[in-house]
Amino acid sequence: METMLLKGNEALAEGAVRGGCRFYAGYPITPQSEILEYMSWRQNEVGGSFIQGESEIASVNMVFAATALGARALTSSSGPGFSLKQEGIAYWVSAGMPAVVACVSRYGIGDGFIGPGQDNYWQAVKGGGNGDYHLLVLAPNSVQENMDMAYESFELAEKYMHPVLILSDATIGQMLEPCTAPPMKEYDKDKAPWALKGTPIGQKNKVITDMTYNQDIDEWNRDYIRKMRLIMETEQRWEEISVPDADVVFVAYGISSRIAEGAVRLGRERGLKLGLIRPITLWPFPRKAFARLSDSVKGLVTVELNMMGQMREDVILASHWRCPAYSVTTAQRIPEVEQLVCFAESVLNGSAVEEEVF
Amino acid sequence: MAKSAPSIMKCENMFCAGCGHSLFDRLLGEVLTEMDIVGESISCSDIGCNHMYQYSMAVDTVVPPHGKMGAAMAAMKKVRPDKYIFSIAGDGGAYAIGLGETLSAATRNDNVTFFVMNNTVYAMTGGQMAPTTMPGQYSSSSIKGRTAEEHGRTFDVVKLMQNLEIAYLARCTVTNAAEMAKTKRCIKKALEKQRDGKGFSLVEVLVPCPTNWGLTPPEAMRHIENDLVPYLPLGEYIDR
Ligand SMILES: Cc1ncc(C[n+]2csc(CCOP(=O)(O)OP(=O)(O)O)c2C)c(N)n1
Ligand code: SF4
Repeated sequence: METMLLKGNEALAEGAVRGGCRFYAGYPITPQSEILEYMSWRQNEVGGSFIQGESEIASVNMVFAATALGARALTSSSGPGFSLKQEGIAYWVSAGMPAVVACVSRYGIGDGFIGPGQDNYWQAVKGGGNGDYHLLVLAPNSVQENMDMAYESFELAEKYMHPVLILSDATIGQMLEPCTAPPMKEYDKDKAPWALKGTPIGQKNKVITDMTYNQDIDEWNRDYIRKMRLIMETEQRWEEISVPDADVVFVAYGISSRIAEGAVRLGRERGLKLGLIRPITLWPFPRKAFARLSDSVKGLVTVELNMMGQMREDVILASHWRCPAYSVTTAQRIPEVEQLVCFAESVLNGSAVEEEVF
Repeated sequence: MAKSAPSIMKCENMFCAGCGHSLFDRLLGEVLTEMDIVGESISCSDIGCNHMYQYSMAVDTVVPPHGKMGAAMAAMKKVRPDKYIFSIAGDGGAYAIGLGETLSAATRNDNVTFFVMNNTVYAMTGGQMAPTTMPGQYSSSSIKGRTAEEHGRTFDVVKLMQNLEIAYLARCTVTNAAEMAKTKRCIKKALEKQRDGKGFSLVEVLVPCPTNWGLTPPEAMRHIENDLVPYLPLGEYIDR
C-alpha cells in the first residue's frame, strides 16, 4: 500500500486506474476537469486509452462502446455536462453495461456555479434518463473514499451488469488529503464474458443493444426487476455515528456528512444526544438503517446543499413518518457546525418546523 | 452481386420489398466474406430502418443511441485497434442528430468506416424530411415539398467533407448491376483504407425507400437515377 497526497479528483482517477480502468473519455467542466487531465497521461502509462470527446454526449457513448468491447471504462462530469450524459447512461442500463460515471457535483440549475452542491440528488438517484431505473450510487465523503469507491466500482458494476455512479462534489474533488492507494488490479478485457471481439463465420455473433428488439421483453423485464430488487436488498451501505441513544439524528452524505459529524461531536460536548446516519449508497438508499431506529428519536434532520431538501423524501419513505423529518438546506453554502447544533436544539425544544418546500 | 448469399447472411430480413438497405447489406456481406474478415469485424449500428441488418447479418454489433456512431467507433478502435470497425448508418443518424459526432470522427481522421444509407428521409419514423431531402420533395413533414426558403438547403456530404484530410470519400448507388459492382468496390476500398491505417472513410449510398416515397420498387430506382444522381453526382471524391 502506497500513501499519496492527492486532490479528490485525482484520487478518483487513480482509484479507477488501479481498479482496472483502461478507457476514459470526458469533456472539460469545472470542478471535475482534474479527472480528465489526470487520465490524459495516466492511461498512457498503464497502456489504456484516453479520448477527450467533443462533448459529454460523445464521451458517454464512447464509454458505452468501450465497455461493450470489454474494457473497464469511465467518464466523468458535473452540472449541465452530467445532464447531457443521461441519455447515454440510460442506454448503458438497458444494454446491461457495467460502465462507471463520476459526477463531481456543482451547485445550480442550468449552467449553475462551479462551487459544491447537492442539488442533483434527485437526478442522480431517481433515474436521470428515461425509463425505470436507478443507478448504483456511491457517495464518498473524503479523498480516500473517492479513491476506494472508484477502485471497487467496476467490480460492483460487473457483479450486477449495471452501471455505477460515483456522486462526489466540488469540495471533495478539490481538497487535498493523504490517502492510501490500493494495489493495481489485474483485468483482462478478453475474458469479459460480454465483450465483443469479432465472431468468425459459423459461430453465433453477439449484439450489444438496448433491450427492446432482440429478446422476449417480458422475460427481460422479469430478470431486470429481479436484479434491481437484489441490489436493493444486498447493497445498502451506511455509516452510523452515535445513533443508538440519539434524540436527534442527522442524515447527510458527502461533504455535508463531515459537517454533521462535527455537529454530533459538538452537541454531545454540550450534553445533547445527537447522532448521524451517513448513507454511503444513495441508491439503494439505506432503509435498513432507519428500520433499526429507536422509538425515542424526536427528529431526523437531513443536511443538504440544496434548497428543496431533496433527500428528505427518501428519509420519510425509509422511516415511514415514525418521527418528524426536517431539512437544513444551505443551498450553495457549506453548513456551519454551530448552525446544525442550533437546529437540533430547536427540534428538541419543539420550535423547529417541518417544512414542505417542494 | 454473387449468385448465392454469403453464409453470414441469415435468410430472414425485415426490410420492405424493394428496400435499398437490404441490397447494400448483401454487398457488404459479400465483401466481408471475400476479404475473410468477418471474425475481425465489429459493426456499429445506427437506429433506423438501417439497423435491421442486425437480423440478417451475423457480425458482432454495438448499438449506441441514434446517430452516435462517430463517437462509439472512436472508442471501439481504441479498445480493439486490430479489428475492422464500421457503421451502417442512416442519413438522419449520420447527418442530422449525429452530424457533430460524424464530423468529429472525420476531422480527427479516426481510422474507422462509415457506410451511410441516404434515402433522403427519416424512414423508420414514417418518412419525415431529413437534411438530405431533395428540393421539391414531398415528405410527411414537408407536405408541400421542400424549399430552400422554408426548410433550408439540402445537405451534401461531399461539399462538407471534400477538403478534409480523410482517407476516402465516395458516393454510389444500387440502381442496377453495374452500379452495385461499383458500390462493392467502394466498400472494399474503404475497408482496405482502414486495414492500411489510412484513416477515416465514408461511403454514401443512394438507396431507395419505396414505402416512404410512395413509389413502386422500379419507380424508386428510376427516381434515384433521374432526380437524385444529377444533384448528388456519384464518384470517388477523396482517395489517399
Ligand atoms: C434520440 C432519438 N431521437 C429520435 C429517435 C427516433 N428515431 C428512430 S429511427 C429515426 C429515423 C432514422 O432515420 P435515418 O437515420 O435516416 O434512417 P432510416 O430509417 O432512413 O434508415 C428516428 C428519428 C430515436 N430513436 N432516438
Ligand atoms: S420503410 Fe423504407 S427504408 Fe425502411 S425498410 Fe421500408 S423501404 Fe426500407
